[in-house]
Amino acid sequence: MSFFDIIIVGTGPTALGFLSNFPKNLKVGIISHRLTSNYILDSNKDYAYINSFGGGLNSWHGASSSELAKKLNYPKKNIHNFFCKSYDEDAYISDDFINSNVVYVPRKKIDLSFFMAQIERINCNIIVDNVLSIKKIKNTIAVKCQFSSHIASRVILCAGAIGTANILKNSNYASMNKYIGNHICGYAQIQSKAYQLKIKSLKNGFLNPYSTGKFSKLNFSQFSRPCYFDFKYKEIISKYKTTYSKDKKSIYNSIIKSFSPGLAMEALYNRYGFYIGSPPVNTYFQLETKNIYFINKNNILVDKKNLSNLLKNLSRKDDFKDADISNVVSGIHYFNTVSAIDSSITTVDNFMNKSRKDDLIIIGDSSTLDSIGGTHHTFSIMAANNFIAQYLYG
Amino acid sequence: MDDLFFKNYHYYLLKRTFKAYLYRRFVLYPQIKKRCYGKILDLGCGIGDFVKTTENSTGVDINKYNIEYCKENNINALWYKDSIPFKDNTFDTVLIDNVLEHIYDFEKLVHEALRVLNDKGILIIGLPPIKNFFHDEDHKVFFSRIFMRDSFFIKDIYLKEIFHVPSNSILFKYFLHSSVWFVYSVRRI
Repeated sequence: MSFFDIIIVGTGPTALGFLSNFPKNLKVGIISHRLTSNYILDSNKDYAYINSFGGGLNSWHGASSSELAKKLNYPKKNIHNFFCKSYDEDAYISDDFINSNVVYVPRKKIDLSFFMAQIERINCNIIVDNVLSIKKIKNTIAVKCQFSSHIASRVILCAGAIGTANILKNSNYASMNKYIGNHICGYAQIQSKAYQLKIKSLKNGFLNPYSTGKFSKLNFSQFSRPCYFDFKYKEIISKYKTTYSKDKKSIYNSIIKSFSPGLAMEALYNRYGFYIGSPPVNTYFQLETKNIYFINKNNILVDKKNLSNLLKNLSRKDDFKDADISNVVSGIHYFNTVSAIDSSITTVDNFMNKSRKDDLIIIGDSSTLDSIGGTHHTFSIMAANNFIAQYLYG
Repeated sequence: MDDLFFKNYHYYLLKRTFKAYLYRRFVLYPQIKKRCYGKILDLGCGIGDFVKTTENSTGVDINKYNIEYCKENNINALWYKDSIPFKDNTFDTVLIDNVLEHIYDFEKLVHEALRVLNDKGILIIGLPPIKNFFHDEDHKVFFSRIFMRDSFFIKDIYLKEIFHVPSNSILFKYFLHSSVWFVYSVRRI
């Protein structure tokens, strides 16, 4: 039994958003799950550890990212060459589907050495274990894992939408049916050079035009990389709830203090529409549908056939002619999955709006947002988490 | 843990490179031996590298394959499962060399080590740096310095010294990710 000031469940980018702003004097435990129990210990293989740790840890090590980049023929020096996918997403989307159709969302590049330095800086314990449930005991939280148990003053859940949902379900904070909201979306990534030219021709260089429409009775929105760091067009951004800070200065400070130079470049890229050597602008569309999901044994599963058909039909439409089935699907996006939960738990949204400083459990994940500013929401959540960490312990 | 895992892990240990052997034999072990005295117990001795090269030392390991290998090579090592097969206050020094990160119930192991240590004993614990933590898929817990500084919240020991191998210099400490060693003294109240 170990005691911590904070336990973070998950090691993805959202968790790292917290880590990068924690002070030194806290006892922090970060729990990552283990992918497999099959030990493949072979010192001759450089990649023997690939399947060893949770999604986040693999990504930190760079093993997953480089392998995937190679497989998917992504340019290695691309600023977006960081991949992060959770094990849960793998589990709920069948393997053959992933192998044949899914191009992973290239999320933010996260410098491994930078985050290793963060771990060393804030004196963080890493525990490789599967979290089963959490329980409030007076003013502390007991975290029960498969092989160990821990106690913390505060727990932050960053285990991904499904991982977080499962933990909450096991902890009796909500029933699984409540997790299926109205806005579970499939989303897609289209790389379109024509679209990029169109954006560049805009006078103000603003890169965030978006459009909405209907397709087969389903609502969709299309946009290019909605950004967190734009202040000029707050109306548009606030529609996607991606701004989480009160003033410019604090945001810039958080960029400078906590993130890699890549983040600053990202801000420039979004704001002014340029980035030297930038890849073609990715445009995304978001389709609101519940048809591609079903519940099986309390788990959310993806209906592979429905999703494939949907995307095939979509690619026939002129606006989405680049949306070929072989490269269009970038992943499955779950949100609003954990909105109806126990009132004692704080979500990112709640926290930012109501400043619930005393809450012991915080869900620092995209799964809690009512609506999301596009596929790069992870980035927004990172920044929001960073802000929360600063607010709580700064 | 299953038998297959122990077998695999044993062969994994045997596959260590010649470079790694030289590092342990001529860089790491001399540094550890400087801090040891009296009767020494190597807790989690693996394939017995330390015991083989150190006088007045005994190894114990949970892996039967390791112990069989040690016995074949005339290395003084014993197998244990739940408790170390020695009476209380038997040893002057207990060495836990890159073992704690492999187990969840590390506190139990530290208590067990303290049981066999005498009142003036020394406990030496070696841990991998963050970068090497990812190199072995059996690693389960990465310990922060603050955690080690507080002596696992065990009152019977206090931290006496931290040293880095191969060197305490800033270059090795911060840039080349040297392994970290913690030396504790027993303080029974």
